[in-house]
Amino acid sequence: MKKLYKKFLIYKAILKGMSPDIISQKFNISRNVIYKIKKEGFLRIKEKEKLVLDYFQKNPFSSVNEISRNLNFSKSFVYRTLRKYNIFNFKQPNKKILKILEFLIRKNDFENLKNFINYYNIDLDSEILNFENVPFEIKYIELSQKLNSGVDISYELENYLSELKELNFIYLKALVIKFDVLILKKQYKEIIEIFENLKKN
Amino acid sequence: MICLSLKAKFYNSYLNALSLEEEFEKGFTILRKIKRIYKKLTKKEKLNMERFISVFYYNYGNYKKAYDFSKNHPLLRILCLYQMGEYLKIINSDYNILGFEKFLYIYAISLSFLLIGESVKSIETFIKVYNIEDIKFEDIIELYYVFMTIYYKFIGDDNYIGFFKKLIQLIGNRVDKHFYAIVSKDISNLKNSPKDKLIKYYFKGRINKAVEIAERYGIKTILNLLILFHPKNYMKLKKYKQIEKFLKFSKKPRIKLYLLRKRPYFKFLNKKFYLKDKGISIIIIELLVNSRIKLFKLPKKDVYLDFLEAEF
Repeated sequence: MKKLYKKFLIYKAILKGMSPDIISQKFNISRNVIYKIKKEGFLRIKEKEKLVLDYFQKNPFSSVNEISRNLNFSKSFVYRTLRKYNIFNFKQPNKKILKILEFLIRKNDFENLKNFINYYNIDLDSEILNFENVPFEIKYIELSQKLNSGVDISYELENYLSELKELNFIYLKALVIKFDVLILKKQYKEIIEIFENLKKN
Repeated sequence: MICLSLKAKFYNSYLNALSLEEEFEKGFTILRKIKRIYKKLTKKEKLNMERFISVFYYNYGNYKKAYDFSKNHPLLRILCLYQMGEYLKIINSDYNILGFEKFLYIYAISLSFLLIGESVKSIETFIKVYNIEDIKFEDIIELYYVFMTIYYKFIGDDNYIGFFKKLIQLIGNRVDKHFYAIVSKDISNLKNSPKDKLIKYYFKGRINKAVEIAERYGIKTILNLLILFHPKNYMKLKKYKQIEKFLKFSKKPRIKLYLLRKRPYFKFLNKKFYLKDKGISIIIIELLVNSRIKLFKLPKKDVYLDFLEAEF
């Protein structure tokens, strides 16, 4: 995340119109890196890494061994990639992360916002950010925030879950919100049923 | 699933649902799984998980463990202390909580005042509930009637039956089954959790078992309420130091008079006292019956009793 924040600062400096010379002196990096960031943005995910992450997103119950076997990558690479993108533990939002999020929202850069939240697995349960025109993949965050502010989201949530259909990683994240709704409605048996079904799968 | 954070969230919800559905056996298997991943979680996740574990133990009835896990959750801590009978600690505590949580806090304080014998302060504290913003009477209706039932029973007013009936009428099956069992003596809904066992043992007359469970899991308030609503014999209860403060609610020992016997006597605290000088003896009995002598503080070798024994 340190590297990412540094890249973010460089990207901001480029957008402000600072010359590559000054940026390279200030951040102690080569000009090639600056050109790369300028061309590809600060949130670049390598192709190999993307393969691992996409595989995991579609098969959230798979283990490191399974991923490495199916994609033919070494275990250590898969492990490192998953760790880098906070798959094992969601990243708690600190000041740096919030700055990046604010920047992306201000710029209406939803593509990167989606990538940032989904690929970097940031835990936004307690953070209240105003999302407008939220991309489908991060709608669960909007729903979670609505629930925290006391809005009844059960109908909206059911629609969202039925649209997601597959048992992918995002579906599981949205399921956590469903559990909260069910607990508020005191429908505990339904939660137990969902878990029993998940176990069977 | 290799995503620990998501796993933790799932386990939290599952554990919560299991404890509220009273499926504690399944809950303990989940708890074992949670312990395996606990160390690998982030600080925030650990705190959150502790809350759910504490709630699980609270619903199960192990208040000592629930208290251990509630270090960072003031309201849970207060509720655990209340169940463990640490009333003074609750009264002396000072937490800034808002909304419904504040209501629960005030509710615990007012009941604590009541159970230490300060009924006036208790009702004064409970009135503060009406000053809390965003609280509707519908939200607190159950706890209001529970408080009133305990309050009236405590001050010895039979109105408590009316409040309890009203509570059943308004809420029906949703009444806390333990409170229902304590007041109504109906144990048909109880299962096998420590709280349930304690109530069952108490009603069956196995006080030693009930006290043992109360001591082991820290379930003191339920035991106190049981003594309050269904007092047992003073002789049975006085053995246990744990319920010393609630002995005043136990059944007063009876004086049995056997005046038509060849050698008339009366029985008090399982001891026979022969009545040789009927005049003095009758005065003593009258004194005891009219409670001019405090029965509980009657020393073993009272002057009058000594006198009677000497006569014998």
